[in-house]
Amino acid sequence: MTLPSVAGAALGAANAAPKTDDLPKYRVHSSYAPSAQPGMPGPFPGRVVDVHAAGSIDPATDKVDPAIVAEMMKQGMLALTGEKDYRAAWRRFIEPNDVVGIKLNCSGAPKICSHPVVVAELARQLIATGVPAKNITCYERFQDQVVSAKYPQYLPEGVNVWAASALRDAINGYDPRTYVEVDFFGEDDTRSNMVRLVSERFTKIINVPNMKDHGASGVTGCLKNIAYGSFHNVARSHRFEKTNTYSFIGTLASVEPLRSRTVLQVMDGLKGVWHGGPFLHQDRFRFYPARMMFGTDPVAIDRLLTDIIEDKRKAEGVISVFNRSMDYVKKGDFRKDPNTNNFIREPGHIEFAGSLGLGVFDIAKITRKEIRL
Amino acid sequence: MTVLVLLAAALPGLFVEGDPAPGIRDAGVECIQAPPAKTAAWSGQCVNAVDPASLQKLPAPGVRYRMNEARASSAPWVDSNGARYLRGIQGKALIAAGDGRAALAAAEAHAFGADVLVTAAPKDWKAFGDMRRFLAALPAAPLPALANIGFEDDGTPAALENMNLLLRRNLLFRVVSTPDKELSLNVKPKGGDPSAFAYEVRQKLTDAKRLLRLYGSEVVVARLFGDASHRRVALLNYSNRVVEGVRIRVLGAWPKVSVHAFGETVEAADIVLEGDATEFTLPRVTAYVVVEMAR
Repeated sequence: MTLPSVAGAALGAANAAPKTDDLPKYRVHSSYAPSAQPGMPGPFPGRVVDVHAAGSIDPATDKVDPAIVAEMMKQGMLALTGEKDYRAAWRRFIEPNDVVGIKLNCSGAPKICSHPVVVAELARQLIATGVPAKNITCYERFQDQVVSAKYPQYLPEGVNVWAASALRDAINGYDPRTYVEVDFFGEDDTRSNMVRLVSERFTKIINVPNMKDHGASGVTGCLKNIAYGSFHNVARSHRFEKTNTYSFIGTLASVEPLRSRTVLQVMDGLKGVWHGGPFLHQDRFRFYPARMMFGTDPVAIDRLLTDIIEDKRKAEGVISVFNRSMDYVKKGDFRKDPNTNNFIREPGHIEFAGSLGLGVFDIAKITRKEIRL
Repeated sequence: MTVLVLLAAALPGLFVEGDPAPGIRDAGVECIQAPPAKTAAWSGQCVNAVDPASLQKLPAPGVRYRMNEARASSAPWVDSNGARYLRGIQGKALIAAGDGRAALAAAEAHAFGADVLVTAAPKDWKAFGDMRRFLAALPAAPLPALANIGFEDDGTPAALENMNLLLRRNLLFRVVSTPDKELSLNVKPKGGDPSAFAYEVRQKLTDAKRLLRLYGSEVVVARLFGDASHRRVALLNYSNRVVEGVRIRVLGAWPKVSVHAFGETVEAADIVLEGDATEFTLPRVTAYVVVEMAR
């Protein structure tokens, strides 16, 4: 299938994405060395398996079919790895003695989040692979968001759910020794520390983002979920109209040990958001791709995600995610009007992450295997 | 770096304007202060007459989160008397501590070495008394306050707001009448945005030269005291709840860290010598925490 190319669309020379010389000065503080083959981009750079199943979710009720999700996951993993048994496919990435973190996306919970049925099935397949339930932890930053999604009602017994912060400004769940230091606008707290479990406990991480538009970064998929969801004090990057999401997302995702330990990307695209993300402010901004994408390369998946969101926005007749005109920024109510922007969007963050070695951005070098159930 | 004042103030007193009320013993004060016309009513209680007109009135410390206000910054607004204390107050101050603020008012006065009386609702007398007992039990050895910025205070409201923002950003300064060559930086008051002023000072000083930095909270203000062999960090939490985790960086190698926290037992965690500084985490910061550091 030929994908429409959107890179460069509506990108005028005068208001293009930041030049490298203009980027903030980042200081990465980590004592962790990269693994021999870092999880991102992992063993399959540029490879994406895109599994569609119209029956996976009922748009009328939002009800998700667990059996179809289970089959989507098995088929996705088999196609990604070329294995014949789904457990063998999982073992290409996860061993029974691993301590596994499942990175949820709950920023828009409970309306839009890593669906509990998807997360539960992922945990079940890990357990079937031999990982003890007690060694699996679903994690996110903010406790109130995680609680609202009610994961324990779906998860196999023994699987843990953990949030780094009960209160938004609490830092005890973060590693004081592993952080990125940067001064964006004169903020006094210039550090963003890594989630403590990522550096101190997990040996492998599976990222489960959604398919969403994002007011600051353009779209939010694999990269933003693993980056902004594994560090604290990150919202400071999008405080003013011109944000620093372009370079901050990839920079955070590159920090060890996060980069090495994040070995799989499982994008939950059963339900998506085409405007107002990461939240679902209005039901009319949701849509139902009814698909899941599998890979080890977050850049390649997010590159495809950009097309999905852009195509949907075009179909809805609203401005492009690449629109950088200040005429649309904070002009109206971003939460209600899809022809407004909250910030100058930075979908270029995906290409920037690619330049850091996190994956393949060039659409011509991305191979997408499509499966329809 | 130079010295300012010592962290060894008289304990804050309780000023009671109203009629006698039960629970005064909870305040932990031997003698209360009251207006002359009220002293006779306090039979059986040590009471000193103080004319409130002789006291400099100061507002209650605290935080306004301003959740429903359109504003340039999302940072909570800290109401601190610190700048007023550093400018200097005439005689004794009187703080009308609002709901639940009596203990913080007492702690703030202690951290800045100010001589104050506090008025509080009877329901807050116990908290005030608890704080007084905590202050009385702190290490008694006075240490000089440390600063490496000189601020030439001209006495104007703008200068007070400049100092307020320096203090809020934990940029340690002392008031000077003329530039002090021993300090890393000397600055004059500047009108306009006091937050921008504080950032300008910070850039001139550079973060590398900051004697102390805090990470993880916008509602905690610190003071630093010390001599050749010790450092003492006094932390005021201006919010109405415990702050869950603050990372503290103090210039110099001070690996022995002990903590005195109001109301709780707190231990320093993740102590590291990082470059030319010592870092540690306080997992919980109550209304007032004093940290002792040594080589």
